[in-house]
Amino acid sequence: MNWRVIVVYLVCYVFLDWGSYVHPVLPLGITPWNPPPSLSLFLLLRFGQRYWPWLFAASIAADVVVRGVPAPWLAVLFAAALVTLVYASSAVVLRRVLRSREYFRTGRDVALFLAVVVPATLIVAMGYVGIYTVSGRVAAGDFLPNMFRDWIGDLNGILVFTPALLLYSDPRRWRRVWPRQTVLEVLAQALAIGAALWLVFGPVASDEFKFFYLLFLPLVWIAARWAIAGATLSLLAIQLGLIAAVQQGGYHTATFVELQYLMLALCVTGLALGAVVAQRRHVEAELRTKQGELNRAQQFAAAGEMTSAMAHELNQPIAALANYLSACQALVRADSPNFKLLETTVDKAAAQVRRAGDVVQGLRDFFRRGAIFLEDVSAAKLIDDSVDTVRARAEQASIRLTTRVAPHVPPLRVDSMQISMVLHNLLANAIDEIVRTDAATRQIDVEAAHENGRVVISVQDSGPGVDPQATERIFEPFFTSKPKGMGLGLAISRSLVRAHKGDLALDVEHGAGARFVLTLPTNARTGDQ
Amino acid sequence: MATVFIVDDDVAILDSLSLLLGLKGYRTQCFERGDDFLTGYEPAAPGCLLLDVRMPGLTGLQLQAELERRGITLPVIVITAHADVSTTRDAFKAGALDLLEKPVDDTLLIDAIERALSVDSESRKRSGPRDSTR
Repeated sequence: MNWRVIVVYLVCYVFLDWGSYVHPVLPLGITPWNPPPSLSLFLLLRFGQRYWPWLFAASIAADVVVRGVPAPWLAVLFAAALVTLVYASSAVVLRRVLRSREYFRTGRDVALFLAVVVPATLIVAMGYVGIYTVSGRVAAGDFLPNMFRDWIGDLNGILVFTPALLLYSDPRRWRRVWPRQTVLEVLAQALAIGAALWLVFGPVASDEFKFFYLLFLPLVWIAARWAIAGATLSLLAIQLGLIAAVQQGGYHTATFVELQYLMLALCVTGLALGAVVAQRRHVEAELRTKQGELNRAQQFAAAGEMTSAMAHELNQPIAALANYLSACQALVRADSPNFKLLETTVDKAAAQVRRAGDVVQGLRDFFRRGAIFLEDVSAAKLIDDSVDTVRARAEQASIRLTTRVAPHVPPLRVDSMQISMVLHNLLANAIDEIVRTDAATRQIDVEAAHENGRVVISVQDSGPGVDPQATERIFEPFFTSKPKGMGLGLAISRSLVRAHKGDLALDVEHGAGARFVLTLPTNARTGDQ
Repeated sequence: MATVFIVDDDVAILDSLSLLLGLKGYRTQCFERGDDFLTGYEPAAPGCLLLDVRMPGLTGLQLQAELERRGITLPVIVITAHADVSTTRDAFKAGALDLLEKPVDDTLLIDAIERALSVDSESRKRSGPRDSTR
């Protein structure tokens, strides 16, 4: 347990209780606006269930500090025990049903959240008001209105605060950079909330209930635009605005309670809409990723076909070349050599060599798509994308694939498609080698590190390694150890990497297995090119 | 005199083969397309056919079938870049006398041509003077 978490929780709890101690019934903690339980629920969901005893302590502390022990000690202790028991078990249930550590990702999450917190707050309200009714502090006839007042206060507090706290306590959410356009849009949305609050509670409206629905407009706008993250923030803004207006306007308590019921509708709408939008975004993003994978797979397939077509194209000039050279031999061996014909034949042979060269150039151009398209891409993403393309094959061959990216590796400045093809090729080779030799240990490690201003990615397999006799030749075109290989993979890969001003090499110093090392420029280097 | 007919869509292959065979003392006649050979060939002319498998238009296999249909018994030597099992099987089922892989070894080629020409002259002798008249 972290003591700082506990101290911050206790201080915030008491402070929130004090700040929200408006329109109370008698001097009891029955208010139609009661955010402290939301803090308790957040504590247990975010930091773990083991903090549950502190709920009890916080409840007692608030009663002592804010209200100066408003009831007999037995009632205060009982109330604290009830609150602790109900919210601790709610947290257990929520953590189990929501499973994911990221809350409110789908409409289902919101529905489950409501299904837990609505009865939980109802039980707390019944017990809490019940204690004071039994102990005579609340008249028996006032039980129901007080119970509902307490319930709506706790429920709204939880619906407004807990989702916002859970979402915004995730540091990843704060790391995003907001473009200027976004800032302007958020500003407009904040203004819209302000305008709606002013229209509902300002001097124009004669009846705040008639105009309350205006608050739905900015909420729907924001939830549709920013999903759950926007919805939670605007609910918070609206709730605080509502409290401020109620405090300023000197509303009757009954009016406040009724407004809180309208607020409940707003909360459920905002959270549900926000979660549904978040879910849709997520599905769309997933679809895009899948589409990208499909495109890549097609590209690989196209590359395979292209290579086969190229093999034929390459064979033609070589066949002609062989014929011309045989003809040259015949010409030279003749009794009276025809040097004129020999010369033209040699010229024709040379033309066939050029033709073969053009075919290879064409192959390279195909992989280059005309030009290199440089972009900033993280080594982690590049590696993940490439590993994904071979993961199924590796699993099928029971090969363990691990990736490790050292901290602070700067982004690469490369053509991500080409480099992922190179990585894919290295991974596919590693798998082929392990499968071909039926290696005992079946492991491939991909690592990325930052060395001397360059990013170094290595692909290491547990196969028998490259034959020492062949280390010089493996990057030569048409050199292959595979029965059905073309021997172009490493040759093309190296030329692609070198076109990036990087390099691809075999680590011969390394002991067991083959280790290929890919060195690539980072985005910091592009300025001095 | 017997002629070596060559059908290949690649001009460089045609040119180099005809030069090489010319130097080895054969008379050659080149066709870039299977159709051209069918229109240009006179069945009475003795010789053999060097045939590429992969060609636009009429493929080598289709040309073999067409020769069979027309009752032309000219011996066929198939030349292919991919001597896989199915190509080889198809070529021999269609009556190829031999099959060589590109790039062609010239001694293998000369052997194949010699054998094809002798097969052709044998069959022409057997089928009587009607066909052998020029």
